[in-house]
Amino acid sequence: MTGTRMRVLLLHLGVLGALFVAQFFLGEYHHTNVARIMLLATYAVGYNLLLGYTGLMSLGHAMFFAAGMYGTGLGVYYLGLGAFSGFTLGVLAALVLAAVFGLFALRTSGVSFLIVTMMFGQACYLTILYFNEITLGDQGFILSGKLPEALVISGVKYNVALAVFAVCFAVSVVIVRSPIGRILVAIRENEERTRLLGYNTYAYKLLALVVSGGMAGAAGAAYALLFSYVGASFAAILFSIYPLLWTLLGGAGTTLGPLLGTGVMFYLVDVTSGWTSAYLFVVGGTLVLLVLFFPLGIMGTVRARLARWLP
Amino acid sequence: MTGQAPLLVTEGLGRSFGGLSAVSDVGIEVMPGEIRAIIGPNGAGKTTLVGMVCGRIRPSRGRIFFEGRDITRMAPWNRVGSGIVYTFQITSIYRSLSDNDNVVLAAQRRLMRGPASWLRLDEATLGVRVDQALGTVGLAEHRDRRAGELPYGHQRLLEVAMGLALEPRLLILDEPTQGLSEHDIATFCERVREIASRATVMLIEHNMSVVLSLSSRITVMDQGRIIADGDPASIEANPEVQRAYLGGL
Amino acid sequence: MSFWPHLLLALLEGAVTACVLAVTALGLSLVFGVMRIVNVAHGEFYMLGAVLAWVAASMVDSSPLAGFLLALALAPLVVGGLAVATDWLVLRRVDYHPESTIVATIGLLYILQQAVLTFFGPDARPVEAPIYFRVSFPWFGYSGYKLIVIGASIALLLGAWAVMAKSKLGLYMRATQQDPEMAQAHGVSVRRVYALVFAAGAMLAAVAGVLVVPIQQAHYLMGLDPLLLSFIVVIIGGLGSLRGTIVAAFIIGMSDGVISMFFAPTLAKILATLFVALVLVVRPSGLFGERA
Repeated sequence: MTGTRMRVLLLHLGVLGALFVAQFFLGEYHHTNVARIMLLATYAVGYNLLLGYTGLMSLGHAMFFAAGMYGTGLGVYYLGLGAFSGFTLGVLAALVLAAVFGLFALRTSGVSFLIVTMMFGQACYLTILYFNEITLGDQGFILSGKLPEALVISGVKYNVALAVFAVCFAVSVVIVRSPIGRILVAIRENEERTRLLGYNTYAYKLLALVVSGGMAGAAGAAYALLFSYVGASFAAILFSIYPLLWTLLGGAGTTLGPLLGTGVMFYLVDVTSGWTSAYLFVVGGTLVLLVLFFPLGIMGTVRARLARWLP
Repeated sequence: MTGQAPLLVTEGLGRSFGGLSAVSDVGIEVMPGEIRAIIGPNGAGKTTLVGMVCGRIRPSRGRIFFEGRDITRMAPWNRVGSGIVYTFQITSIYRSLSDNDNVVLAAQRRLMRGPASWLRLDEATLGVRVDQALGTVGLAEHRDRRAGELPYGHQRLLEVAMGLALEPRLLILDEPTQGLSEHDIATFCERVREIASRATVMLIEHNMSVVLSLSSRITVMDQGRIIADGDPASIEANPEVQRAYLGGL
Repeated sequence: MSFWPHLLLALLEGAVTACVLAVTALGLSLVFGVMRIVNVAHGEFYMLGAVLAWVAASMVDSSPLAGFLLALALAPLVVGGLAVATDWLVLRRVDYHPESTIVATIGLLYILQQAVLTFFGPDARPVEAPIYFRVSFPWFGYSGYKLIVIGASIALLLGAWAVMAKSKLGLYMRATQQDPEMAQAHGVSVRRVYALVFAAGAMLAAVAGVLVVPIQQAHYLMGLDPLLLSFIVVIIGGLGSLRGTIVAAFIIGMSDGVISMFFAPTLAKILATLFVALVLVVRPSGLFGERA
C-alpha cells in the first residue's frame, strides 16, 4: 500500500510542480490562459467531487462560483475590502449558499435534485439581474483601481491562481483517499446499503455539496480579484454546464480529470470561436460524443486500461 | 437465561400501507444469545417487521426497545451504531467494488469516532477486522475480486461478512439461504452457529430444515400477526402452524 | 385602469401562459412518465416550433392564416422526425440510462440552438397572428388570437387525454409505463412506444411554440424559459403524474402571468423557484407524485 501512496503523492506533486515551472516558459497569451484554466479547473475539481465521487449531478453550480465572485466583487467595490478579506467574504458566501441550498435540496434525489439545482442556479442568475442597481446586471463591473496593483502583474496572477488550485486540488485528493471518500463512493454506488451500514448519507451528501460549493466559490472569488471583472454571465446556465463538460471529458471520478478536461476544452473553444460565432456547437457535440463513445473520459479510460491505482 | 433482560422488545408494533395492514399488533421479545427464526407464508409481514426493527420502515403504531432504550424514532444509521445490523433479502452489495472494499466500508464504520478519524484511520486495524470478517464466511481468497462477479451464493456470504464487520449485537438475516446450493447451505449454518456465540441472530427463513436445526426459538407469522411463538419442538407440533403452512413442515 | 380590470387583464394573460405551459410541460412529463428520462432539450423543440412557424409564414407571406396552418402541419412533422432520429441515434444507444440521457440531451440543446443561430440568425423575428380581432371588454380590448390560443391548448390537452385514456396507443403507453418487461412480453414493442412517446412529447412542445410565436417573437434563445417553467411545473406536480402536471401548470402559469403584470417577469420566475423550494420541504415528491 505504501507503494501506491508514494506513487499518488509523486504524481500529484509532479503535476503541481509542472504547472509551477511552466510559467517560465509560456508566452504572454498562454500565461494568462493557463492562469484562467487553473481557476476554472478549481471550479471543476469541486464539481467532480460532487458528480464523480458522490454521484450527484448539479446543473446549477454556477451559483456557487458567482457567489464567490460577487461576494468578493461587491465587498471590494462597495465596502472597500482588501484583496484577502474580499476573497474570504466570497468563499464564505459560497459556503453559506451551498449549506442552505443543500439543506433542503438534498431532500430530493436523482432527477428531482438535478432539476432543483438547475432552477436555483437560474433563480440566482435572475436575482443578480433583478438587483441591477447594485450588481450592474449583465454588464458587470470592473474592480481595477480598487485592488492592490501587484495583482495586475502576470506572474502574481499566475501564482495566486496556482495557489488556489493547488489547495483545492490537494483537499480533493485527501478527501478522495480518506474514509469519507470511500463513503461518498459508496453513496454513489448504493445509497440504501450505505445508510444501513450506519452512515447518515444526507449528512455526507451535504458535506460534499458544501465542499464542492466552497471550491467553486474560491475559484469565483479569485477570478474576480485576478481578472478584475464581475459579471452575471458567470451565473448563467451555460457556466453551470461547463464544469459538467470539463469533468466528463477529463474523466469523472478521477483527481486529474478536471484539470485535463478544463485545459483541453478551453483551447478547443478558444480555437473554434475564431472560426464561427456558433462555437457552442462544439460544447453540444462534445457532450453527445462523450456520452456515446467515451463515457469514462480521458483519465477514466487511462485508469481503466493502464493504471488502476489512480485515485 | 431467566432473569436476563431481553435484547429486543416490540410492543403493539404495526404498519399499514394505504388501507392494507402489513403488520398488526406484534409484540416479541428476543433474548441475548438466541437464534430466533421468523417464519410464515409469503406476505405474512416478516420483512416488514424486521424492516421496522432495523429502521428501513417507519412503524404506523407501536414501539421498539433495544437494550432497554426506545428506538422507535431512531434513524437507521444510528441503529447500526447501536448494534442492529440488517442483511438484505435481495442482495445489496457494492457490485463494482472488490470484496475487500465492500467489507472495508462496513468495518470502518466501527472505527470512525470523531472528526479526526474521518480523514485518516488506522489501516492496520481496519485490515485485521476485514480479514476476520472475510475469514469467518470463507471468502478470504476472493478478497480482490469484484463483488459483482461472484456467484450468487458468495455474494450472500459477502453480505453476511459486511454484517459481521459491523460487530452487531443483533444480526438480522433476511432469507439468507435463498438461492444457495445444499453444500453452501450447510456451510452457512455452521457460520451462523459461530456468529451466534458472539451476537444474537434473527433469521427470516423459508427453509424449514435450516430453521429447525439452527434456531433456539421460532416465531410464526401469518397475515401480519404472530400466531405462535416457542421452541422448535412445540412449534413443529402446533396445529395452527401446520394449518398456516399447509404441509410445509 | 383601476385594480379589478387590471386584475382581469392579468388573469387573462395568466391563462394564456398557463395553457401554453400546460401543453409544453405535458410533453416533458409524458416522456418522463413513460420512458423515465428527462429531455433537457425539450425547450429547444418548443423554440424549433416557433422558428418553423416563422419559416412557414415567410414561405406563404401573403396570408398569415395559411402560414399558420402550414406551420401547424410542418412543425410537428419536422420536430417529431428530429425526435425520432435522436431516439434512434442516441437514446437507444445509451439504453435510456438516466444520467447519460441527461448529458446527451444537454448536448442536443446546444446543437439545436447553435444550428438555429447559424441558419436563422441572432435576431428575434416577429410572426403575424393568423387571425386578428379584438374582443372588447368594458375597460380594455383584448387580442382575440390569445383567446384562440387558450381554446386550442385546452383542445390539445383534451385530445391528449383522450388518446391516453381511450386509444390502443394510450393503452400501450400506460402498459409500458407500468412495467416495460411485462408489456414487451405481451407483444408491445417497447422500442416503438418509446420512439413514439419521445416524438409526441417533442411535437407537443413544437405546437406550443407555433401557438405562442405570434404573441412573442421567434428567437434562438427562447427555449430556456419554457424549459425551466416546465421543470418547475413537473417538480411541483410530481414527476410521473400527468394530472399533477396540468394542475401545477395552471398554478404556475396563472401566478407567473399575474405577477409579471403587477411586478416584473424576473420576479415571477424567482418566486416560482422559491415556491418549489417550499413544496420540496413539505412534500419532496410533489403534489401528486409517486414516492421518490
